[in-house]
Amino acid sequence: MIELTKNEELILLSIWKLKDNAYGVTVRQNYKSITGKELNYGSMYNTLYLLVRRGFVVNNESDPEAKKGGRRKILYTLTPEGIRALKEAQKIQKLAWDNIPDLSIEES
Amino acid sequence: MKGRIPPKLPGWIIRRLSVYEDMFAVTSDLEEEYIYLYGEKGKFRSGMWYWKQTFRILSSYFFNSITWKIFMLNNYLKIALRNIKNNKSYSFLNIFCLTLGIACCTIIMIWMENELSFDSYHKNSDQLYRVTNNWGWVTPQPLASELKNNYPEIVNSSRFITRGGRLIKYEDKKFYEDNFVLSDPELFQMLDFYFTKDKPDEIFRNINDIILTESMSKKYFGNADPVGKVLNIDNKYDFIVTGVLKDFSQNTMIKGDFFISFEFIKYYDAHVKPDDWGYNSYNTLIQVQKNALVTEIGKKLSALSKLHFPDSNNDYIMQNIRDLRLYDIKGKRTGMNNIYIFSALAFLVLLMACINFMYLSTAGSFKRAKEICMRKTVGAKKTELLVQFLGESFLLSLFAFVSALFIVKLSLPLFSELAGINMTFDLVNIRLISGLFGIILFTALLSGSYPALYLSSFQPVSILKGTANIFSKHKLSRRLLVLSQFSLSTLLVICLAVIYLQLDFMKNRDLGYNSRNVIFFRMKGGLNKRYKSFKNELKQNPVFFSITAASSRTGADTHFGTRGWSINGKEPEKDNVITGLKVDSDYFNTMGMKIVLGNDFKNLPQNTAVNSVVLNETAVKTVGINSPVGKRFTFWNRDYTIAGIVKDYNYDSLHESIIPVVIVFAPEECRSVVVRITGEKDISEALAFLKSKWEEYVPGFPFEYYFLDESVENMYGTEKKTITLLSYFTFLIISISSLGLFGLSLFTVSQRTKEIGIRKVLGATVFKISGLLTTEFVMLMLMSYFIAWPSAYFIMNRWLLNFAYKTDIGTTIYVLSSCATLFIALAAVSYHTVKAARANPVNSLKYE
Repeated sequence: MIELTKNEELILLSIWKLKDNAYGVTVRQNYKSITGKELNYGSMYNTLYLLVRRGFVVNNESDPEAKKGGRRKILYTLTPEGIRALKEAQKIQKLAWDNIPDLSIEES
Repeated sequence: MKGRIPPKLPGWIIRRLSVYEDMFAVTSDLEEEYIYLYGEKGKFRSGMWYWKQTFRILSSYFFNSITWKIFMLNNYLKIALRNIKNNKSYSFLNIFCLTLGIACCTIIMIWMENELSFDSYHKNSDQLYRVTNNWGWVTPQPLASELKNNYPEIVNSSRFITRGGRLIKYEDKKFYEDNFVLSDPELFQMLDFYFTKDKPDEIFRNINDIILTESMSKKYFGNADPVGKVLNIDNKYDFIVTGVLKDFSQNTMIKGDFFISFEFIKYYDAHVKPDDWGYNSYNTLIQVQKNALVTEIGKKLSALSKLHFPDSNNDYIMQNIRDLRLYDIKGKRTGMNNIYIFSALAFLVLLMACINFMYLSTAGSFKRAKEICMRKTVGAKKTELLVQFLGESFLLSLFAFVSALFIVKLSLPLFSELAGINMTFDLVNIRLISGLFGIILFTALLSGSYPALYLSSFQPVSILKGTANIFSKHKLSRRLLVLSQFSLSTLLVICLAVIYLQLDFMKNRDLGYNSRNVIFFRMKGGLNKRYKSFKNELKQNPVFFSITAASSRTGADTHFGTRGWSINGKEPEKDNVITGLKVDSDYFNTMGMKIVLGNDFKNLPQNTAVNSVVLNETAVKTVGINSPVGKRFTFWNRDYTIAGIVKDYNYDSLHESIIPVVIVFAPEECRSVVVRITGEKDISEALAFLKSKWEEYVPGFPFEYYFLDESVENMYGTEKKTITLLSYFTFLIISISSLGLFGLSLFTVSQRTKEIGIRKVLGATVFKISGLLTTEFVMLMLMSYFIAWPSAYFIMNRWLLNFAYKTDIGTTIYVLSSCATLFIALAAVSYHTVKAARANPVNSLKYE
């Protein structure tokens, strides 16, 4: 079983969703749009670093773009292992939520 | 977009520390978002945001990396300890040698710290100077007040002088005290003297005020408060104690046990007028203004000397009080030389230990090759391996340091005695602690750097395949290291031998007089006035061969040197100093000196003798006349007739060449009695007799006597100390090198076990195999002589320049010393080689 923390899972999802445009700024934006919270750069890079080390993500240098004034830009893509990890996380999610009584009833 | 330039500093920090920058291009991400934020929230808040994010990135990065490093460190430590455990003998060798090296350095550092800190504890130590004449440490009385009153740069000054041998009495306690100082009260303002209780309102208000130290107060008054008590000095003067000083720390040159006012000098030196510029017998200490130009003041002092002594090359020199310990008055290094020599030697001992570590760890590296290659294949970077091995050498140094501390603690009393100072080892001195830390770091880096570079450069592929012969690689550098050790050991042994020979030469040299069975002592308590009857009483006893007296110990008193002399009424062409000596009639036969021409005083009638002088041969040369006997010689403003010539004798140590001496017959002015005893077996009887007569004549004054031969030997105390210390160092360096050789031979032999086995099977003898294994070392040894001999020759020639009379160094000493070191080296190597050569080849060839 591959274990992913919530942050790792959300970052992997963001990268997958953003496809060819996944880099620092966009991943952070996406994270915010899902959770409504700011993800600070520190914990984002640390998480990314671990994901790269575990072989879920590869980081590639993109061609310099006009938008960034010719600066470097590094794009992230998921590896097959990364995709498998996400699938597994999804499976666990599903299994965990199956056969759970409706939460709204308890709340009221 | 213009003006939206993000702050430069955080980006620079990130790039500098390369925090994820290569992986994720951190700064460009941040910049992009910053530019966006700038439009929304303005410059200030976006700037704040940028800084905050940078801080977050840095802190989480470091936290993260440290956690991983700790994991790795744990592994390194485990492996290092395991290595130490698995190679016990080799680790022990390394740690032992490093321990010796570090202990040596630590002791020398404690000693140096003590020597270099002399008199630096005074608040104004940088402003305090001792003024001396250019020929000796003494100055005339009026100099101090002249300097203070007429030179604005000099803010304070004091005269002082230490007068030894004062008899001090309180009730029934009486002792002779040597550290009896007369000084102006200003001395107490310039130097930091600490009083135990209150400082007296005014120091030396009355001429009979006395200040003493705490331990002296204990000695005379016990635990009672000494202030106000009366001490009697020399059975003559009564002094009232006005203050008690704390005992002096040992690192000061200006100290005393008793202090009285300098005004009192008028009773001691009644014949000297206080404004006499010609009578040099006192010390002068001055305090200059802060930031005063010392060279300018020096020039003014020279001008002052010229004013008083227009025709001589007399000069006044200033010397900072911090330099009194280690430099002589002309600024020549005296003690400082020892500091350089011994710190260099201690460093060499440590260096030898480090060299052992270097070649033993590279020679033993084949044992660790697999581990290194595994680490490399798994992904260790070269820098990580470097860190690992440096860490290991640091660990070993740390072990060595801890055991060195024990050695230092145990051996410090021994070295205190040797150095003649009380050395203490307490870790409160910041400079000492940082020095020790420096030693550990230095040891770790020096000994670890080469093995670390060497080990981390292994190529995993070739080693794991088993094709590379690690041991024979880097053979050259290993040989160079061994060579350096050999050279140093041989060099030191040669130096030691030469110093020993020189010392022996000086001991056995014909000094021109016979120092055996001669006793001398100073006349005290007015004995000199009753010398004649004292002498006659001694004469009754046959144990005394002869009795005489002189104005100084061995026949020259530099205090009585003068330029004012003439021969046959003619002034000398050259301005040469001739030294005077006053003696009693039997002086020459008592001392065993030879009269080569003319008459001895004892052969002359009394009234002729008082107008006669005897010159030594050097004095005759200085005077420059052919037949001197019978000529008129004017000296000390008196006319004498030259009665005879005495053979040259070495009155001083052999460092100095013989100076011209004029010997005058003046028994009343002699201060020391010199006695020759008939035979060695009579010495105790003679001493007992002397003591009883002394008690009879000057009761209450302790009888202190010296043997002439002992005092002659004491002149070479420095050389003796040097030879003792040097032999310790040589012993250490040789044993460390031998231990290293011992370890290295183990590795060499173990690499060639199979070869030895095959050779033996094919019929090689034990002798041949031992020869094969030791050839390398012998070759290295022979090569080392090419380095050791010239450097020893150079160093020892320089050293011998210190002596006016030197021994000849033949080549034998080089050959013998070299043979000795060769023998030691062979002994160190032979254990393993002979063992390997004698081993049964079956055992070495059995395993494949």
